[in-house]
Amino acid sequence: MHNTLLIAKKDLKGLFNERTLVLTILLQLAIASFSSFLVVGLTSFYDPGALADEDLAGINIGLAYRSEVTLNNSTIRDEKNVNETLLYHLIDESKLSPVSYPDYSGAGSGFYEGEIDGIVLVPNVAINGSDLIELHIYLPETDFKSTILMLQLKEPLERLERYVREIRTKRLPNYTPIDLNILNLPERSSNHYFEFIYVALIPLLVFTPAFISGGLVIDLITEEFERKTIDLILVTPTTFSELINGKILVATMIVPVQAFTWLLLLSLNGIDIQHILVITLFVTVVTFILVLIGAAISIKTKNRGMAQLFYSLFLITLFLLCYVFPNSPMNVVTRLAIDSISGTGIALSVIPYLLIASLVYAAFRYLTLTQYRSRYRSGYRR
Amino acid sequence: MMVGALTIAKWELMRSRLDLNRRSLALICGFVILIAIISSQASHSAISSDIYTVALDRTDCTDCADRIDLAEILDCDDRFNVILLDQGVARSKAADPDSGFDLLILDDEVYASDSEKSVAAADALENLMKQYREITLSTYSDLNNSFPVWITIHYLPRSESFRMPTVRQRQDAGDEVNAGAGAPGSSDTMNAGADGNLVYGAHESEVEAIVRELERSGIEEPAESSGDSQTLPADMQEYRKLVKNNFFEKQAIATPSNIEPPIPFTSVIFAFVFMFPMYFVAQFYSASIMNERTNRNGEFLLVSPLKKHEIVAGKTIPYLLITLVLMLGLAAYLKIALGEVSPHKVIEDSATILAIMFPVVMLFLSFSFISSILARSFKELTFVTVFFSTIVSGYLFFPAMFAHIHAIALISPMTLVVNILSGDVVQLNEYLFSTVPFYCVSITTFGFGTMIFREEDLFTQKSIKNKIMDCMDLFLRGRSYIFLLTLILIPFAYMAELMLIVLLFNIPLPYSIIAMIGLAALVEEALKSIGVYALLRRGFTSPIAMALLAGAGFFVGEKLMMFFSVAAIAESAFGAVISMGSLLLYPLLLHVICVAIVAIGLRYRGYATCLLIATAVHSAYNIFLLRGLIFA
Repeated sequence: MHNTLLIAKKDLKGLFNERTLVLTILLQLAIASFSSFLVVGLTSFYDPGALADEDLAGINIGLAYRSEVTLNNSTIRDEKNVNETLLYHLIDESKLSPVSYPDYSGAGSGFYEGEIDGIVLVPNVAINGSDLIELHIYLPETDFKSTILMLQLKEPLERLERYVREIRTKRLPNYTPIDLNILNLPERSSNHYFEFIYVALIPLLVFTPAFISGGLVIDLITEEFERKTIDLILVTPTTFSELINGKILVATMIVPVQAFTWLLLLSLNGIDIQHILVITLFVTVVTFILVLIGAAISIKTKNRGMAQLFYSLFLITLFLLCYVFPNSPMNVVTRLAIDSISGTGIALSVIPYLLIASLVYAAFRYLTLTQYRSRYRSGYRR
Repeated sequence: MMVGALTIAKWELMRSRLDLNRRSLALICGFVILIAIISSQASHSAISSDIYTVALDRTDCTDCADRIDLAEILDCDDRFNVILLDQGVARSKAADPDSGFDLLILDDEVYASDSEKSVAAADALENLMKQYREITLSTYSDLNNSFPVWITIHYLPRSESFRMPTVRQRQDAGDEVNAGAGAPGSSDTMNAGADGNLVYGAHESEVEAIVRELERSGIEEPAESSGDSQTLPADMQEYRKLVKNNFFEKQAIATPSNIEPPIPFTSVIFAFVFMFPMYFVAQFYSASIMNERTNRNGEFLLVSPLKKHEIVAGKTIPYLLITLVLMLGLAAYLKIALGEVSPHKVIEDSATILAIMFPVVMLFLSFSFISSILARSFKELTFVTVFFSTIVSGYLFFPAMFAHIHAIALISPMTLVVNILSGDVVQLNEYLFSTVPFYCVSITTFGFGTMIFREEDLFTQKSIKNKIMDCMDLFLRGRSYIFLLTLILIPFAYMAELMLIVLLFNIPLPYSIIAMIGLAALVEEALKSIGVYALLRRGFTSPIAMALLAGAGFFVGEKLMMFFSVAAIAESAFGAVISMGSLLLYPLLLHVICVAIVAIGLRYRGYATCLLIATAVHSAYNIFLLRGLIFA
């Protein structure tokens, strides 16, 4: 035991001396800011509401009409009444401001001069008729605005579609729409990144140290083999099993510290995370499994390149398995953080991993340490 | 000369084949197959399963047909954990906000609490219901009544008001005037200036073009309009074909509910696909270099009658070739998988993709090379390589996400790959714009690495700082080399600053600009003064002369880079800005002064302190320039 701690202390000191730990933390920071770039970038695309209103202030949409527009079966031929049409109203209610043009050339020069940033051609089709209503939308090419504009237009267009469908789907046989009415919903101040934060960001941040530790233990072990320092260590009273245990200990124990710090930082950032201690414990258990796998691979190959390759392949496989089975480590962390399991649910999802960890450790000891010791005593074999 | 390199390359290949015996090769193949099988089974929902709890009332009435429907629909989405309650229980829970459910559905009414989670659950429910509606409606064969509204999106060229008048536009306008379309004096305020009437001519013709375009699709029947490949579906069968269509193309026609913003998620996926082989090969490469260093194994290479650069080239070529072959295979496979039939086109496009990926592979390998020389231990090597791969992947991914949307996406070569995969053509200037920094940085990195590929640096436990200083000492053969050094370090500054933009993206606006200014200044100052620092350590004197050289070198490099990149991407008459007197003189002065601060300061204080002072001065200047933006 004493020797194990000695080895652990030596390797931990090495970590601090080489500032590897600093690099690890920098790496995690980079991943975190990448993911937030990803999330802010993507959700502002998907959810136009996520964009600040001032971003939209300068965007107008032009509506150019054909000679006549039909609404509710009453044909409006008068140009002045064009503003009364349904689509104009729907767009007006959204964040865009519509401008109507009686002819194409007005719309065209308005578009060119930047008064409007898009043109919608509204066709002459009756809503309760049976022809398709085909809208043509013109957007500026290679311009960021066209993306925002299209997203803003999606909602009024969907409302138009719903309106038309309400009239037309009655003609479909046996079609009964299910309308759900969501009550007592507060003002739409919902966090647009909610699912991303809990489903992807938190598990990823919490498990990154665990992934790194698996690679770290490989470096610690294979380095002893490749530099042949293992022979020197083994002539001291330290046994092979103590040496490996020491390295496993270092690689595992730095993870809960990092994971806990991440969770704390996220909480300080206003993200509500439940069961912080349970998550930290759970991450430690998963780390232990990964570190054991890394150690087993590196004892088997004794070569850093090969060991890292197999560990990466193994990690990718495990990571993908999270997407196949429910109750994967990622999912457990998500549900713990979001408070979707409690009491016995927690025990039911965490205890299997404790069992797996102890099984893997037993197998590891049996396969590598006990077998290996006798073989190693008979001389160095590469 | 190349013979030596080829011999080394041959040895390297033989050696690494010994590493990979048959059993490990079989294992690797097994893993790859396993990964392929699993990824075909993977679904996003498994990872987010059971995050929302929804309670439904169990209605035991006669008209419960659609009630059961609802439970079944909710079961399709793994995010919902559905609990059926008796009606009486459900009613009593409805009034209670702390019922433990995120949503409670009674008849047609959904009760949500005001927690964030509950709101998110309601959002998810709304989306699910929308999906259900679309699927149900698509089972009817009556298109005109189930999908009545269709949208066709067209893109029109328009010159932006904030953009400078482009060179090409001016030429066009000039032609028009020569042809006799003598436009009267302009009232155009947008392009006010001496050549106002020229721009006016362009304006007329462009508006006409837009109107013609509008009329074309407005008057003609959509089926006849020849320009677009996609037309309205005539019946349900065509509708299904349309919905399934290639997700790569810019969506041109859709119903309002199905319309998707033009986000190429696909480009992120392709970036991943191309990164994987690079990452693994780079691992092997750095392991091989590191192997020469452990236990002085590389001693024999160094004593052989070969030049250093031959050894390095020989060690690199096999890995470079393997990666390029893998890339070529991937590119051809993707192109065929995306439905390209003509073999000629497949070969041509794969070759183009290879040309685009070549500098990226070079950069990856050069970073692995330098880090395996700098690292003192295996763990340090792992972290340094992983760190660099993360940074480079970020550089490749994020701009590529905006492919098809914004010109800025061209920073990343991945954008060009996505463009080619989706059938576009890549212009030479676009290629140069996105790959030249990669070429510059990788060649420079290989150069520095080769310089310290010698006993003193390979087999000793020198600190990273000392090894970098060795690079500088070997490069700086005289004082005037400082000019060259700062010039070739420019692409490093360029790429580092682009990465900073991504890293600082999530900080709120005024702070992110200030942080960006500070960090960018720090990067620039460090790169500028590193040569001066190395020379002063060696006992060179006259700091002012060195500062002049370093500042001038950086200034020239910066302007070249600006001219090159901006000219390539916007075709704009950028010369006008560069030759503006005030902008020419002050930056030069600033660069020189900042280096001088470090050079003179080193007599009294440490390098870090001097660097910080120079950074502060540089930031202050930049903040002064951008004061309108920050304090607005």
